[in-house]
Amino acid sequence: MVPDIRVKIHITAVLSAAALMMFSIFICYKSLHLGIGTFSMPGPGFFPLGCGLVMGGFAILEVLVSLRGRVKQQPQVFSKNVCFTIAVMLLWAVMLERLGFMFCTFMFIALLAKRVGNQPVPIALLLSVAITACLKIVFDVAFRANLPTGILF
Amino acid sequence: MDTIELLVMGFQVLFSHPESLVYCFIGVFIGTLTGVLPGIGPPSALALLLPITFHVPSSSAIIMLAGIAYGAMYGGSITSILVNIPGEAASVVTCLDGYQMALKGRAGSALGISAIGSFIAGTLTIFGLVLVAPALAELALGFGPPEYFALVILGLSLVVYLAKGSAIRAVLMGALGIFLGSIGQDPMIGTNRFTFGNVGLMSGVGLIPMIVGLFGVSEVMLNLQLSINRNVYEQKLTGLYPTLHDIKVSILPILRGSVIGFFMGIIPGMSVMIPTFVSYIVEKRVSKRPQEFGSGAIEGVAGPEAANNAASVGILIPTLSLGIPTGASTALILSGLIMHGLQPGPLFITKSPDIFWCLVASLYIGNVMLLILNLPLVGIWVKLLKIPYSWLFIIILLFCLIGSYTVNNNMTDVFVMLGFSVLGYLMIKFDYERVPLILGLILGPIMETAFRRSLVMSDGSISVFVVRPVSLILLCISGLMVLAPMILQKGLAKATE
Repeated sequence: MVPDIRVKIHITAVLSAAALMMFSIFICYKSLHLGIGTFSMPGPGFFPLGCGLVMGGFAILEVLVSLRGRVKQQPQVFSKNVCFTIAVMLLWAVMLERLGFMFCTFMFIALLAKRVGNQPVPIALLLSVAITACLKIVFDVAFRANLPTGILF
Repeated sequence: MDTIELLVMGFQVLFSHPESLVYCFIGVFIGTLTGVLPGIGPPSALALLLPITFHVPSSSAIIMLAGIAYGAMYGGSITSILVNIPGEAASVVTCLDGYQMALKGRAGSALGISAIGSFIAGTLTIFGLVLVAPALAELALGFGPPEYFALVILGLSLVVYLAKGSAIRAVLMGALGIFLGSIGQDPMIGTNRFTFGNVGLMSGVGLIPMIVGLFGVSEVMLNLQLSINRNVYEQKLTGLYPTLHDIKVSILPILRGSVIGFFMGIIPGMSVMIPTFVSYIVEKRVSKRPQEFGSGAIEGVAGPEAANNAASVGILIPTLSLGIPTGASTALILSGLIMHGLQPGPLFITKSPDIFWCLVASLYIGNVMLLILNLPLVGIWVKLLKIPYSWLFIIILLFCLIGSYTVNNNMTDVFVMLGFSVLGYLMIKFDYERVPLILGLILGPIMETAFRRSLVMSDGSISVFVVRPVSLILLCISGLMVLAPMILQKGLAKATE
């Protein structure tokens, strides 16, 4: 007796391919607006249009292949650690020029060491100070990079 | 001037600028470090350090970046042998017999022969580079725009062919990369394309923030989800210098590995990992004791280690002499060269002979430094294996953030980097390859310029790509490379049904 094998659609694969397909339509649309010129004098939109068409064609292929695909374990995309790390990096970027390199970097290290690295608070704070100081020396003195001082220090 | 005279000139230039030797040492040291520490590969290290090379003279920057690429090959074998975790992808095969040798108390011999084999392979292939690169550049001087277009297509097709996952997805990412490379000013007319009024995008998508995000931060985010349990080798390392018997048994595998690695490394798209597998298979086939492979055969360490080091030199040849990078590491080295106003390609060797030959000389000096770092000083690396990742990842992220900011002292670059970090992470999670994307970004402008020039010179006739024999052959091979995996995958799917 033949076992009943259920074939489920790999949703994320279909969605990602569909997104690329939509993006390729956008590229083609914008490229036509730029002007494709002629074959003897290609315009600025000529090559991006080609890219868009290739992307669109292969995106359709990928959608079709994914629709026929078997079920796969859905990957855990964003764990708490990853989300927290991205958030702290964003915060560092937003606050850097306002609060300065030293403070932002100290907070960055302390938060990640405590929350993601599971370090005890005293160790997290102590090593944060040490690493911030070292990085300041490395980038300021060795690489002569211009790091913002901000309103604090 | 003949080749030997040019090589001597390279050594003279290198020694007359002692800071270049310092940067060479920094490069090979960092390369070994990235090889030793799991979770950071050569592309990540190159991505982290690219922004920093802005502050360094051009020749020193290139020497340092190249040092990272081949230094990582030495370092990767240390963790493979001592911890059974490959430090980087090209050292996977070394785990098979290297770790078994360590369990039998022969860790020192494994490390010793690995370092010596890598040194011999590195030295031999540098001479290969000296002979092949100028000859290839000379050949490429005869290429016109149609040949260049076809060559770039071949490079991208080989990357698709050798893609680990789906070929369709690899093509998608390549096309996306080519599109991203077209953002900015049109190379022939100067019209702004896809900038949406943003001044920052007029010079194109920031290459460094993109690379740092795609290869640096995304890897860290992936590693945050994995826990790496390391059982570090605790015994004292003895017998680092191989016995006469070890040398006698290993010399032919080292020579074979060097040849395999060098010639396979030249092929665009070839991962440095593949020659190591080929070398292992060859050694097992020719060995008189194949049953020992997998349980501590020294040939299983010597051959693959020589192959991966030889490949790490071989991959530089298409990058320097044709301007076509073969993978992530060479794409990043190429970016470094472009950032410093150098244009790799057939004219690179003739227009910048001091930099090219100085780089070649530094490869040899770098190999000597690596031999010293990896033999008598191997204990340092063993200690470093004990650094917890819970601190390491924070430092890596900071280097990425600060590095992206200091390129132009512009926060937009940091946000671009963060955006590509998330994209890179999603790409890894959903099995989309990043290498075709980055190669498409770098090769796209070259491809477009060559394509449009070809059409202009042929007055709009597409047949210009097929009437020229070199271009036709390259395009046919490219077509086969793209279609073959798809046909094979379809055939396999039908067979399993």
